Amino acid sequence: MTYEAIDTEFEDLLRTTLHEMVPKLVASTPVVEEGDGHGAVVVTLSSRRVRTSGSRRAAAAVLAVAAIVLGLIVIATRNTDGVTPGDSPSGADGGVPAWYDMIKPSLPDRFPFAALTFANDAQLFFVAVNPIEGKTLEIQLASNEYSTEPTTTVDATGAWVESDQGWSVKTPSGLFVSVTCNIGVGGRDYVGPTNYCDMASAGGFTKADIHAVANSLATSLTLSIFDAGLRVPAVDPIDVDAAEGLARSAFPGVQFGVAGFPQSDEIINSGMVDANPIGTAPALTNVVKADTSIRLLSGLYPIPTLSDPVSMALYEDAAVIWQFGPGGVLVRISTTDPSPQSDARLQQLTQDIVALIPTSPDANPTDAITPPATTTTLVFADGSNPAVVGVVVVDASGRSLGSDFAQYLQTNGVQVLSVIPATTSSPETMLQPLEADSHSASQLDLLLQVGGFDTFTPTEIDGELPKGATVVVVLGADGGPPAYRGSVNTTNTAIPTTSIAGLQDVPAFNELATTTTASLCDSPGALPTAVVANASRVNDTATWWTNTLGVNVVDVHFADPVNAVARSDHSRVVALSSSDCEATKIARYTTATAVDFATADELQALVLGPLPSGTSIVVLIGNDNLSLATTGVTTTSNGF
Amino acid sequence: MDPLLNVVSPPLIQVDVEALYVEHRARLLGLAAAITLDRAVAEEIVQDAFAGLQRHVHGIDNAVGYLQRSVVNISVNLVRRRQVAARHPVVPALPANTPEVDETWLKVLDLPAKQRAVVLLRFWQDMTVDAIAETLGWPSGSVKSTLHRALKNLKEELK
Repeated sequence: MTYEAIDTEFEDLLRTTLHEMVPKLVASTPVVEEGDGHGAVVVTLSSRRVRTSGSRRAAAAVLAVAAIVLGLIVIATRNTDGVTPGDSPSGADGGVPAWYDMIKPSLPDRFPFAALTFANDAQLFFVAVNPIEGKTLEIQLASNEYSTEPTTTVDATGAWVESDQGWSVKTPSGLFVSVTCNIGVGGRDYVGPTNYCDMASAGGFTKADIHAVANSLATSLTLSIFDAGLRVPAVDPIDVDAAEGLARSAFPGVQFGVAGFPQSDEIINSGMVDANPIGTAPALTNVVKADTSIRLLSGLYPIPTLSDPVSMALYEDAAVIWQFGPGGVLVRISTTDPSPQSDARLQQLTQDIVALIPTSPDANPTDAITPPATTTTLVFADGSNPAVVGVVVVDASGRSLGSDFAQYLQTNGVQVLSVIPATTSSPETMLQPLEADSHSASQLDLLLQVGGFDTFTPTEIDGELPKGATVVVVLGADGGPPAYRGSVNTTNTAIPTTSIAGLQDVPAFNELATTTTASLCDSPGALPTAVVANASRVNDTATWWTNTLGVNVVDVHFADPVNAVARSDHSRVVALSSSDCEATKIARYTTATAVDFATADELQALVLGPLPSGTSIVVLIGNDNLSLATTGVTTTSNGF
Repeated sequence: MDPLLNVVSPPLIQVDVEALYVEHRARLLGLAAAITLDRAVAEEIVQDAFAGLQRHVHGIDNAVGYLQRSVVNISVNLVRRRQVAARHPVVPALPANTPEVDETWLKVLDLPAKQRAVVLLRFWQDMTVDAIAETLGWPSGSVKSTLHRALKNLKEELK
């Protein structure tokens, strides 16, 4: 049997395998996902972020299924009961609103802004806002509330019930007080899961703190508060439909709907759409991304001044982005997709929605309170210290770059335990979490933008990791992750031609390196010859690159540079398949995104003039490498 | 962009997104699922691809290619980003008709996402190397090298 026949047989087996197995993979059986870290396994048909337990979430799931069956966009109707013309945000007389004086003594200092969002003769709803972490306290006072939940405890204040998000108490006189805390993550329940506010590391607003607020309200207020004639201020700050439209256009294919809250407190949730609607564009069907929620809260007192830029808090698997608009408005977007791409779009959406708010002469009174300057708040789950701790740098760069990199980390608030030389070099920089929850690594990834995690193996270093290590950063031959390379480049404008430092802003190699196994690069053999060909618009790039590559790629012979047949915007590394490893090494010093295989004839066809005998690699330097090639070279206007 | 380089503006072509959706959704879903090994995520990826097509519907001259490229790129990127043990999906056990297929399938699942993507396009979608290159916007040589590595890995694993 010939080699080709064996190949054909193997490829047939591959075809058979794929044709049999891929349809099974997408058959209509549920996909089993791992749980959320609490030992639960969730079976879900569609949403990738379904959480476990909780009667409210179960109810939400039932509603969601019902919505799909009925072909409805989820969401309740708007509730405008109890909204009547009344006080301006700052009170009818322009002073402090009556309700604010009533609840302010019970509010923690970290929640300085509050709004009355609903009022009738039996119920009052308030929202207090924390401008540092994006959290809100939801406060309900009622005279006619009857809880069916079992009592958790009874004390002098009343009968207490603990919920996922907070506490409620009913006093002997009949005053019901409920206080919950949330970051507004939608899709599960508008008040979000328990841990975001409760976890000690997230600003530490714990259940005990919530209990204290509820207790203070219950003991300081009486049922007479419902006779005070409190009414929701007449505010008309935001065109909710327009905001919803902005959300739809920012996330094409994702449906948004307005949840049932008073006019001064609108919630726009991403929601679910009928799987088989009639007359709806198919690209907009079957969308299940119930993980983004926009809250438009108005009537805040004291009126915050405009916050600019947009503030953001990153939690473990969620992000909160918010901005104060004119006239005491808060626009808060919460998402369970805290990816950088999502964050960027949501920040822009926040600004766009704030821009919808009309600016009135009273929008920013002189007595407005300026929220603390919060541009980005990192909220960590690993303790009280809001910094990434226990980082070990394993220097696999082959160029002893570890110390500089460690210094960069430390200046960004990262605790580096040590810098350890690697036993072998690594082509790319990697993040390797050592703890099961990988939270520190996630936070570090926000800084470094490595974009993924790998697994630490003890053979990477001689000896053992220091005690307390939580994350290993393997500093690769690529010179560091993109964010670091960018920072190096922006601060180093004069770079010697023999230094690799000027080449560190090279985006090309990461993807390539992931598919190159060590075994491919360990093959012994004669050193290959590479030719550097100028395919750029300037005259002598190839010489520069030959010198550079000659310095930095020691196991390849470089022939004299030549000119390419055609000019190109993009750089390429083209090689015989037998020189895959060496070509891959070279590619990382260029902007080439991959090594292209070619025959010897095809290599020859790329350049003017004959290639030296034995040439197995041609490096075509295109226009996209000019900025790298000319960095630090100042002799002529074209860089040479 | 080098002003001396020849740039051709794409023609304005009307795309019937609905027809494309009906015809290609299942196939794209398979492609995304086989790369990400996560059917739920695959649904979102396909959805995102169609949403992208809808958004750029007037500037795309090869809608199917655009969709395939989107699905592969989003899938590969997502797999790379998601390399966190805690978030790895559990690939459901899929019984095969023969042990040979079962063994081969497991090896396919072990391939790096990019290699798996190219293998899927070549041997499941029966696309030529040039067609894959055009679809993904890669040079043909890159497709060849990726395919070469993938097959080498598979054969070595199956020895």
